[in-house]
Amino acid sequence: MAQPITSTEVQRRVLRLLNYEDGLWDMTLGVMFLLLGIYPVTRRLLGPALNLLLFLALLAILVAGQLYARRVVSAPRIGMAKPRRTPAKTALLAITVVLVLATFGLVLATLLSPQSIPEPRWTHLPEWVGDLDVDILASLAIIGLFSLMAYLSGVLRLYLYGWLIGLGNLASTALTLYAGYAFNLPLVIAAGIILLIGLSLLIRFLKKYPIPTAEV
Amino acid sequence: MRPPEPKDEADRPLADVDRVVHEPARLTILMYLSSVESADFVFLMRVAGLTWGNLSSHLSKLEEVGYVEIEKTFLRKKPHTVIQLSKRGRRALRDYRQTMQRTLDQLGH
Repeated sequence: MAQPITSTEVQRRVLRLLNYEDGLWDMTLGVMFLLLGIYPVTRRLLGPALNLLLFLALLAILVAGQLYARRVVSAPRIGMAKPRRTPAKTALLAITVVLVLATFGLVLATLLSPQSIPEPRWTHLPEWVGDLDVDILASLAIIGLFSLMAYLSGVLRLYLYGWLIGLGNLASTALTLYAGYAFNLPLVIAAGIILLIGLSLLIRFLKKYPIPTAEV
Repeated sequence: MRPPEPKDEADRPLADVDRVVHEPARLTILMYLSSVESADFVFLMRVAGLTWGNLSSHLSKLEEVGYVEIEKTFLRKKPHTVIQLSKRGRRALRDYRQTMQRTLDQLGH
């Protein structure tokens, strides 16, 4: 029996088909966190300024590549739709952008120069909490943001991504601080999993949606 | 022998339902168009799960009654059809929803 469908569910289906079905977004996210994972290694090799420049340049190429791939790979297969703008949707979009930027900034601040951030001391808490306070906050923000996105879009794998990246980020800092790891191995593993999920989604997408051969 | 025609409007609660909207494929098309500003032919084909011919025929019907506006252009030298729900179409969908809701509510009592 077919599921009852509401107007919210219709909007979610449109959003899912246009943004999450082809796996390109997942792959972009995976590569972005992979770059963040190997950031400490390249920083040692290139120095902080040059490394940051390289990271931002790669990020820009990544985003441009995703937009281009969407135009040449996805659009001919699933078509295009212009989203309907309502005041509520515009407000939601603005909040999401602010949250994404804030989280991304927090992740960057945590991963790139943890020593430069003034560390408040929490005397009534265990020592490791004081060591990882910024990372705990960043991880909670990441998990919260991805959970919110999953809830609003109905894309359940975003819950998994939130936990993978959040815990990967926390574990990376803990390993660096306590075990002297040279790079963010847990974050690289988390990013690799996301990248593989994106790749499998893309393969499924290409099989499921061949380019239609006729036009009216 | 044919069954007797209902005399009262109350005996035919779905008499004023819009039959153009009532058809499942057209209702699906209108539902998806109502959630976007505009969509192209391929997108509608994918979300509605219809074939080229089927979608084309339903869109012609919807355009005929003024529920959708169809614009045919070229995108990168290829034909590109963009469809938009008209004000009349949006109103028809709203009225249809109200009629069905009212009828189903009455049925529940």
